[in-house]
Amino acid sequence: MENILQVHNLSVRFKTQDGEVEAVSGVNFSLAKGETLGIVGESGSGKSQTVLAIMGLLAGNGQASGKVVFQGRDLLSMPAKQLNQVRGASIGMIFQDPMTSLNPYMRISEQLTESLILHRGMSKRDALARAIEVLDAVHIPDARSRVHYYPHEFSGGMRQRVMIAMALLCRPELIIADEPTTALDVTVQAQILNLLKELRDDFGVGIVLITHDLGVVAGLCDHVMVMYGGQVMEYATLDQIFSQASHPYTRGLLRSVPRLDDAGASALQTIPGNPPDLVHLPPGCPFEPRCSDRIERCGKERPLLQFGHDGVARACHVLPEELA
Amino acid sequence: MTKALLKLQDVHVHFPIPQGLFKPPAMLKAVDGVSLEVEAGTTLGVVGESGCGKSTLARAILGIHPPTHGEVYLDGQALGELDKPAMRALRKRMQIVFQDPLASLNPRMTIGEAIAEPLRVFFPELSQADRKRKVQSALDLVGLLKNQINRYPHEFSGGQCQRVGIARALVVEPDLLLCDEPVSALDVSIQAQIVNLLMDLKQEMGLTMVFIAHDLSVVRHISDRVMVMYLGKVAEQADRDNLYNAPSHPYTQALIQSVPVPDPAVERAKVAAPLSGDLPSPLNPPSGCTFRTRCPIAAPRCAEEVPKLRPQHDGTGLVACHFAQ
Repeated sequence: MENILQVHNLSVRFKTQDGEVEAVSGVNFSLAKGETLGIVGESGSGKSQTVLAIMGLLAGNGQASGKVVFQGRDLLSMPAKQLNQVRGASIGMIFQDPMTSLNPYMRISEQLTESLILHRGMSKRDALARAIEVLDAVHIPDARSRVHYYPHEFSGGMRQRVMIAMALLCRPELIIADEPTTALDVTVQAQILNLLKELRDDFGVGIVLITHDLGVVAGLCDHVMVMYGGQVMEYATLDQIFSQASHPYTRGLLRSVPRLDDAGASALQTIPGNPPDLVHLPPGCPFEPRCSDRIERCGKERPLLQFGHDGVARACHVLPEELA
Repeated sequence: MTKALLKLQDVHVHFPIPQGLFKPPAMLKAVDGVSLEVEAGTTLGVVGESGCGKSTLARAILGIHPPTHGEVYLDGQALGELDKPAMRALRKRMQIVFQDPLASLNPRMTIGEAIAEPLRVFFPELSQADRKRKVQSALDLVGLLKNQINRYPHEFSGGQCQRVGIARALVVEPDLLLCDEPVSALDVSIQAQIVNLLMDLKQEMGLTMVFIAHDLSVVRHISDRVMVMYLGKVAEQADRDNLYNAPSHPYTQALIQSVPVPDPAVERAKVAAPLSGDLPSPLNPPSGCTFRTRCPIAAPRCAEEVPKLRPQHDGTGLVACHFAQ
């Protein structure tokens, strides 16, 4: 399978008043055409900063290092003008909150045609026709008249459809979706997830999906990357993660989710402690203070991400068969 | 049957929405005729999507938005009949935990001061030493350390702030604890800690809880009885296992099917989203059954006649649907 995106040793550092913070540290992964990768992690795990760095959208005090190869070219070393062209033509991005990502003063038609006119040099008329076409593709009823609506005239679910339509405009090869359904109600979430599946199957786009919801991952992804404290803890196929997770953090995460199809047990399993403070990360494994499988080495030496023969990558000093 | 600690009888909360200078205001029926009883020592889960009126319901119970019609009873006492001092005296028996733990704490108060504040308000006769002792035992109760008493909210993580919120609610030893989305702002691993804490405290203190959330899995875990709301009305109410194992209302069925399950095999077996369309505007709800615009089994009768709550599950449950089996 041909890889459309390759990330090598990506790190992100921020200069803050409390000192330098490494929000993402040495992330490696690749994405094949038509593949969906889920990035899972809790707040502060670096999952959003990873994709923002890929897109060149880091805040002003952030600095990315490493390599992000897309269509054979490194996005990180690319001048802004070229990067804009690549992003506009081949990468679509869907954010969590559609209301704050759409311009409230502009009609949907203007927002959708803007990039086509700029990036593709289309005429206004052709651009509008294409805009209506993508609104149809994301199942917005009566797209021909709704294309002239303002964002506030749509409901939350419809606005997220508009966002997805916007990401699809230029027929991208890659869509990056950062918590695309978190702000939506559960019945609407089910609709949007179905839509994403459909787009993946119909258009063969590669999707990088960021979420904290393991249920969403189970429904949509081929591979899963679990992050904690800015580092990749485990990378494996969907079934490997859910049936034979080999990292203590992944296991803890899976156990602490209350399941709807599980009659109420007495107590949920928890991961003790609190998420790490990125300014004061421990010298060893970031998960060490909360890990029930830790050994002495974990507090001193940071485990590196290593690929096993089954394709599973894990960063842990304790072998899977030795875990409790 | 034990006595109901909390009882709501046909509670309505309507908000007037101005429509312009010369037009009469429209009525937003946030809560539209809800009746329920919560037995002492049990937990009622309230689920529904945004705008279904579940938070307004909590506010109506506390008297923050007094019901525009109907009555709330705590321990047999009608709250609407009380004057201000009597209401204040009764308030200490009902406390609430809010969704956003950081936003519900004053950033300029240490957590010790924040937890002591309800004691100052409700028990002004307490000596300083007694107050301090009570604050310390509340900290202990929610799993915070005594030496953290002089820290400020920003020094804590979200999960710890929520523990402070719970300590603050429990320090006056209430009978009824309302939780309005107490874990939805928290990370998964922290969410499990707080859910367990709430369940332990309920056992230890014999609390009665109303647990409002949009997450059906968490509600299933914590509740004895569950109520499903849609556009201000009760769609279904039943004992926990009956509701989840054999949901009667088409909306309950769709809600349960929509929840993504962290199991690839289950998720692969799903075909289509169970519901199409969005929530209708609560300012202009559909006639008859408000769910009929999205209901897979809607019939002409649903547009004409509002379905009444009728008994279900051998009389232990209630459902508002003309066609529910």
